[in-house]
Amino acid sequence: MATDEKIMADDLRIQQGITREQPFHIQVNGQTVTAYPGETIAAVLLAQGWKMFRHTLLSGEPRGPFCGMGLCFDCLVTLNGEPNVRACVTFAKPGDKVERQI
Amino acid sequence: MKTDVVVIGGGIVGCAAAYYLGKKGFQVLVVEKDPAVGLQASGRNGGGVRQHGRKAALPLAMESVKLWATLEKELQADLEYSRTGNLKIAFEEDSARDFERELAWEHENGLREVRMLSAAECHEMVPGMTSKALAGKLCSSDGIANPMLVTPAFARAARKLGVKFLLNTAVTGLLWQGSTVRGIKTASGEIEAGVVINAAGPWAARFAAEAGCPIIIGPGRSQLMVTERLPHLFIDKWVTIRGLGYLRPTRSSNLVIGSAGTRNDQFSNHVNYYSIAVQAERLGRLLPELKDVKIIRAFSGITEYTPDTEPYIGAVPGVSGLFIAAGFSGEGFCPGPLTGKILAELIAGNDPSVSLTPFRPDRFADAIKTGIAVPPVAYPFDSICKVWLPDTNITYSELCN
Amino acid sequence: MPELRPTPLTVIGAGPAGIMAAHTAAEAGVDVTLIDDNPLPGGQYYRQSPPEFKFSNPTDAQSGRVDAPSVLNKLPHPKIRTLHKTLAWGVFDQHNLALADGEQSFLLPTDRVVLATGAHDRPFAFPGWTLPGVLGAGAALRMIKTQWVLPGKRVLLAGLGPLQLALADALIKAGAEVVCVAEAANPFQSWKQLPKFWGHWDRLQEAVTYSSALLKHKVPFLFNHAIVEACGREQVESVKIARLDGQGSPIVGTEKIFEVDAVCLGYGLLPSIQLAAAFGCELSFDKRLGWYSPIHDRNMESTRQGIFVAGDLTDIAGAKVALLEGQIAGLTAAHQLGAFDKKTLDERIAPLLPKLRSLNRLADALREIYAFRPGLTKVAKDDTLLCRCEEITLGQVKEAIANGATDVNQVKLVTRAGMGYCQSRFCSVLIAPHVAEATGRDLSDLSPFMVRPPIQPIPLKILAADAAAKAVQ
Repeated sequence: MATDEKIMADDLRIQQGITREQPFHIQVNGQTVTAYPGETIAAVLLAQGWKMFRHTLLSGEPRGPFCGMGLCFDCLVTLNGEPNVRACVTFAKPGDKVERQI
Repeated sequence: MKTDVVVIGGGIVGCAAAYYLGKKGFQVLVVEKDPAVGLQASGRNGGGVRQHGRKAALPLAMESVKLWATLEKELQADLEYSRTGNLKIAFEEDSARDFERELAWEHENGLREVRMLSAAECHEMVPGMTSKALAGKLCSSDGIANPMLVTPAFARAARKLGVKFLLNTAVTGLLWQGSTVRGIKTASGEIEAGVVINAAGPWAARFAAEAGCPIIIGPGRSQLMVTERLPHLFIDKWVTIRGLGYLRPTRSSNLVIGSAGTRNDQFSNHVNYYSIAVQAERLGRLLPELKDVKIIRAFSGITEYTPDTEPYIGAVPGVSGLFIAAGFSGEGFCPGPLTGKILAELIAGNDPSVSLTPFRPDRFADAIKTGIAVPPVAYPFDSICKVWLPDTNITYSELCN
Repeated sequence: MPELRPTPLTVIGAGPAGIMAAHTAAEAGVDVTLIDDNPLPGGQYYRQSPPEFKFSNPTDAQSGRVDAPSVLNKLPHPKIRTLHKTLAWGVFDQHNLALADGEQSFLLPTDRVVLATGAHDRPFAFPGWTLPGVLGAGAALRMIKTQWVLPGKRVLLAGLGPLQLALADALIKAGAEVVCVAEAANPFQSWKQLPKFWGHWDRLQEAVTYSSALLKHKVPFLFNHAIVEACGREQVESVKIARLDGQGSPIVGTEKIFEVDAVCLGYGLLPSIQLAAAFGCELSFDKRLGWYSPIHDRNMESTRQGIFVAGDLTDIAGAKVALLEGQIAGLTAAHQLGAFDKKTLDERIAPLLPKLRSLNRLADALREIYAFRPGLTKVAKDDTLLCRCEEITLGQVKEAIANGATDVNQVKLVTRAGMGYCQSRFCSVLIAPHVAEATGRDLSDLSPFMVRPPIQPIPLKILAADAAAKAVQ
């Protein structure tokens, strides 16, 4: 099935039926990324199609959001220098520096 | 039911005794009130395999450390034991003087690997401390292990030797024939045995009293917090910080933050909110890098203390067939295995490998019977740190009860 | 943080059950503290989008629930003090509730309590389930309905239960491609349950609506199928599903492969029972849920006097049941606090009961149809992780059992499974069946886990900041 017009190419944000406010920028591993007011860091990353947020301490396996409500702690990123922040319950702010824990 | 030896209490001492007795060919039954072995002090302590700081139990601890070196091979189990040393840090004159006194006693007893540290050395070993240390004391042959693995490892090895375990069963009393013990009573029946070991920790008093050899023993609390895994462990050894508690790194890079030596009147194994809040506050002030570290769980176990913080170990005088090993006053993890071995030696009719004179079970019996000069149970942490809530004069122990 | 005055009723969780409990008691004159760890009330069912999002259809701001305003408008209320973004993390001395806002921890003494802590996605372990892109169905639904971001472009759904239909519909409407829905149930085995659907036309209508969306987009919907593997390097790239035998075990040779960039696991929900356990409420094993939930009477009172439970916490029966249970709990708490006598209580509860009974009949039917199938535990292989946090495999769990561990706690002590961040929420339920099988014990005989504070990880500084600690030398 062809990509529906509801999704912009390479942006998994749903467009129809919603008006977002003016976007701002955050940094993700040095890359400038668009974010909208009200979005969680997880949403910002997932909107880019990035599912992998970190690698585990022990075996270095890739992980990303699993429970989406702050209980599983798999969506951990480093935010403005603070490690192990749950991306799915943390709202993005302008100028945030996010590091996927690679 | 009939067996050779009944052990009351499935803690580290009880399970170790059962194991060593099993090795000598005895039929042993361990009776434990909890659903599993090692759930109280034996499983909820900081995991320090420590010699320095001991008083009368120093020779016992030193022999114990020699035994610890062989345990993983003997029990065919990973106990996460490592000898990275044990460090104590003092921020006040009183504590520093205590260290010097300890050092003198330790050198006198042949513990060579212990020395005083300068303030600078303390700060090097524990980087990031915001308060200026006064002095430190390091024993490099001390170590750490994972308490949650040790008692079950002894139990498993004991089972392989035919030792039986009766869990979820409280012992209600002893069986007697005159002044000879002939077994125990439980809610579900009697068990006959020629020898009974009272390794019941904080609950040991009733069986001691029944034997006409009362002991002074009071419930204590060991409380721990465990952090998330730290990407960089800033310490590799046990660190005691006078007035705060202790820090112990785990094999999986978590930090255990513990305190012990407080009264526990209610025999509670519930965590006390104020004591972890106070500890968190002090730790956050001393080591600000830990402020953002998350606590994943806190738990608490029931320990026991005596007036001189020394245990009662040995044959109970005045009766036959009854032995006791209890009252380790927050310091039972290191000597636990050797104590079990010594009990097995005694029961087999041999002399103990370490002198048990300081641990005579009847050393307070006269005072108790006459009621004269009965010493109170000593709770070490109370004397080390005083804590105030606004407009009150509450001690740390009171906070915890 | 100002000194908090305790209120006679404390309600934890501002979802359907919690809001109704708080409101019902408040209307009866009781002062209530309502505690919720999200920025906005509504729980999961009425989960609200951020205020910065504007919608052409207003109900989209509350996950598309048309009845949301009637419930959410019950707040604010003059007798309800709501603490948002506040986490209830422990219970001390049986009645002191430990709370943490973003700044500090503090204790709130409680009298009557209603626990409405809801549920979370049930984990389902299979090779590759930890790959990025594999997420819970609830998580996917939240991402779509609250944050308006798709979890992926080509999505496979695998699960056990009607939530999958709603998710598939949401994905399709948002423009994602749903490559297949693998439903592990075999509902035709449960034809006896059909009469229980009588009268629940709205649910049947929903099912028809969702199904027609699937039909229209030619989405394969396979009963009696489960996911058995996910593959990919840094994220999921393909999945395998297989047909199930009578026990629910995958049949070798029936595998189908799909290329995807997201997988949604809808294998049910588990009640969040940690706080109930912390309060000392007894739990019992629910065979169809396949896990534990707090015991309660018809007035929603737990085994601890004065502590009530309501909503998905008690059993996964949906929002309508949660709304009614919340009311019953609120009424009973109000009565216990002297708001009205027993006769009045019974009179007020009576009209709620027929609807509750009818809804519970439907919930029972769904539970019967979508009961967890024991064979599904065979999907995990020895090198499949059961404990995500500490990275412990099924093989390691089996080894611990072979070495003498006879319950879940002992497995935990020896392997570290359950000692990580999620505090065994996502692994206890995976480990227990293997312990049961190996020891020949019934799942209901195993004690699930020991709950210790904090029931969610909290930073040291939050603990340290407590006012009492501040005043201490």
